[in-house]
Amino acid sequence: MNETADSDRAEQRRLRDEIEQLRTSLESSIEENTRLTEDRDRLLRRVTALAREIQAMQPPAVDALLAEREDDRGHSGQTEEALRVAFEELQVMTEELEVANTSLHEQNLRLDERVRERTAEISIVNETLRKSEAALQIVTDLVPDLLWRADADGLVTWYSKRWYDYTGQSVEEALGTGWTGAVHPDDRGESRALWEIAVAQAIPYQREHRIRSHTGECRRFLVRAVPQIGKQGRVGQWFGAITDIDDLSQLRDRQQVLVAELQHRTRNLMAVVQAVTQRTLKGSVSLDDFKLRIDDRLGALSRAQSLLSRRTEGMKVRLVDLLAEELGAHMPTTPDGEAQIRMSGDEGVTLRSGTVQTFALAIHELATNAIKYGALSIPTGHLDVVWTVDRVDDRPRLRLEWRESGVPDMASKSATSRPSGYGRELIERALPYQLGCRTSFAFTEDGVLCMVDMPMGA
Amino acid sequence: MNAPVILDGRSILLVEDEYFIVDEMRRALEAMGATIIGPAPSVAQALDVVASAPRIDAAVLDVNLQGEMVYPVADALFQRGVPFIFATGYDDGVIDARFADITRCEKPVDPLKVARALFG
Repeated sequence: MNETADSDRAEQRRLRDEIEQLRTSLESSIEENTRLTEDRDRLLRRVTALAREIQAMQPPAVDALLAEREDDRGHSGQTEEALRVAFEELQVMTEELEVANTSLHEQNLRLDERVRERTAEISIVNETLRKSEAALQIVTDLVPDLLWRADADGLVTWYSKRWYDYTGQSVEEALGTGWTGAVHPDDRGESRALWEIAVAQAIPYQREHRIRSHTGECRRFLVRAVPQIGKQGRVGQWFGAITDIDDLSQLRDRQQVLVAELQHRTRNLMAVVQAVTQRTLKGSVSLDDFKLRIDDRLGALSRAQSLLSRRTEGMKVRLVDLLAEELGAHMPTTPDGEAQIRMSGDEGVTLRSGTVQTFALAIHELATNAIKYGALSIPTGHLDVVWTVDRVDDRPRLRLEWRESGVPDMASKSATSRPSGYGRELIERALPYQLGCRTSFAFTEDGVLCMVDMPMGA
Repeated sequence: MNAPVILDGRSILLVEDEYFIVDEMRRALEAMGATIIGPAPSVAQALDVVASAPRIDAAVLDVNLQGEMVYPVADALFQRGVPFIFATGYDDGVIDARFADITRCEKPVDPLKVARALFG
């Protein structure tokens, strides 16, 4: 598009030059014409003067003249001769003048014709140029990029409207090196230095920097420019485009954070799996025993992970969902139709993502123990899970009570019905260490009572 | 290479938020004769220990403690002249550039490697 416009402009220049030449030749023709006219007028004056001289001689005088012919032959003959010569000169001059006039007239006609033709051509070129500039305008306004041009010295000569709209700069402020004023101060020096190198070496320029908008907001842009190499192998001018990549670069940064976070979580989870495996191995009496226990615990870990990954953006895991995940498949009723498990508490209570895994493992150990030995191992047992959120010293704390009842001979069973060393360690040591909980685990007359008091920090 | 590492009397600070990970590390290092300081699960608790413990010979730092980076603890240890290593799930690029020269052990961490990195 630019090439077309440029060639149109060259054509326009050529036509203007031609018209200028025509005007010059017309002017010299007019001068020539004036000169001829002046010569003719001079001759005419001479002829008139001679004619008057002849007329001044009266007929008698003529007779006398004739009589004195012999005497005066010399004088009269001289006058007639001069008159004749003057007449001839006048005739020649008049003819020349007529020829010159005719040629001048013809030249004028031709000149008029050529001027008309050229004027018509110029208006066509102008129209084409106007159209291509209008098309260029549409394109520059259409593309989201901010476009610019610079001269061979790297001074900006033109910006598309978007530059002015975004930066709020005036044309006077923007052109030349004014762009540096809109670039973030921390990016400015390097951007300018790189641009100077690109200009000096005539190599394409590419740079990301922040540009301040007229509202003061700084957004990240990708700036690219290429030199247009002219006929002598020198840079004619530079064409540049500035692309808003702020959203893209934010997404890119966010993605990097997420990838790093995912890596951290995965490796951490591997380390947790390794540690849990070690513990389970130490607490197992046989390989079969180990298999059962490790499957069970890895299952709980994996459910906690899926609770975490099911969260949508900004959502937290609800305590009630975590409880349902561990007890959900197990919703027995007593012989008289009563639910064996009773949960009561605010269903809106949520857990910080960092606490979910450990908390879920603890609940899992309690549930497993209840199903194997406790309230859920017999049809008449009951499990009450009650939770409240209180503010202590203006900080919210979750208090959760796990109370089993209806388990006969608890005192005699307590030796065998306790959770494994791992489960108790989880509740009595891991929860306090990791989540800052206060916990207690005890046997009542007819079941297990476990209390967890956890800070709910942000 | 496989010679047993003896850490007799060495005081090692452990900073790690996962209880079972730190407990396994504690047991392994204790088995080699080390005395464990801490362990500390958060930046604030670790800073308290660094400020108050009379003797710390070395430290093992988890980089991310419940979403908080451990760097202030690393700086405090550096001030005290205590050598330390990072135990991390992160790749090199993520760790702050000023700690580029600090040894990193990738999780899950082998306690023997930790002992060698600190005192080998």
